[in-house]
Amino acid sequence: MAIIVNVDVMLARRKMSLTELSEKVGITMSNLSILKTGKAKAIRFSTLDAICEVLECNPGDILEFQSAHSRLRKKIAS
Amino acid sequence: MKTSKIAWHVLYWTVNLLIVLWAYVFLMRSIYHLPKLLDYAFSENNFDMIMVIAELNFIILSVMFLIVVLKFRQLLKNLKNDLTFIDYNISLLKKITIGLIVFDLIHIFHHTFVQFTFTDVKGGPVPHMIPFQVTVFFFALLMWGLRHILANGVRLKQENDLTI
Repeated sequence: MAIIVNVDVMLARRKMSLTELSEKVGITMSNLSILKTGKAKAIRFSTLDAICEVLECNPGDILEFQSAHSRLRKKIAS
Repeated sequence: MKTSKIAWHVLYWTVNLLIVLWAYVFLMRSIYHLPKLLDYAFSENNFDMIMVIAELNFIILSVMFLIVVLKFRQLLKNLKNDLTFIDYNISLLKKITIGLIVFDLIHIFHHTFVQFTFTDVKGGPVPHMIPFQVTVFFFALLMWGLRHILANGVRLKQENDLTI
């Protein structure tokens, strides 16, 4: 998928653990893991709202659009 | 217990009963026909060879029927255990559809070739089995349609499960 979830980046910036986030947001660790690994098909506005509230950020800080072309370029560069 | 659950239980045990009945009929028929079949197989009479083909056809049809019923039983077992929208059920329905179509084709061959030759040699009215074959084909089509509905259901469930 072209949408990348940067929860782990935001967690590192806020120096917060995944367990702490799951407790504060009120979603299970397994669901957070699905979100982090990019397996999620959709995200509810309420969940996004709660994550942004806890991490004190905007939805754009968590979600990022990456076109197939740029992904390929990144892959070649690495 | 929910009404739907009771219905699945009743259907599941009915299919189990059908399997037991199938085993009984198959065993009795085999005990009766097998010694005769060995005599026919070594005979030089052409009519006896038709008897062998007819009996072999019956065995293949019986085995195909058992395979389809066992797959159907597995499907009912999954539905009984609340495992409706899973990939395994889709593959089961696909196997049931293919099994029913193969069963139908063998039955058509059995009916047209063996039965007609029988009536040609022995005389008497030609047996009518066309409504049965049409019913089996219709059932296969129904299973095929159900498979696509279930595939859509699995996709929707997956989407729902992966919505955070």
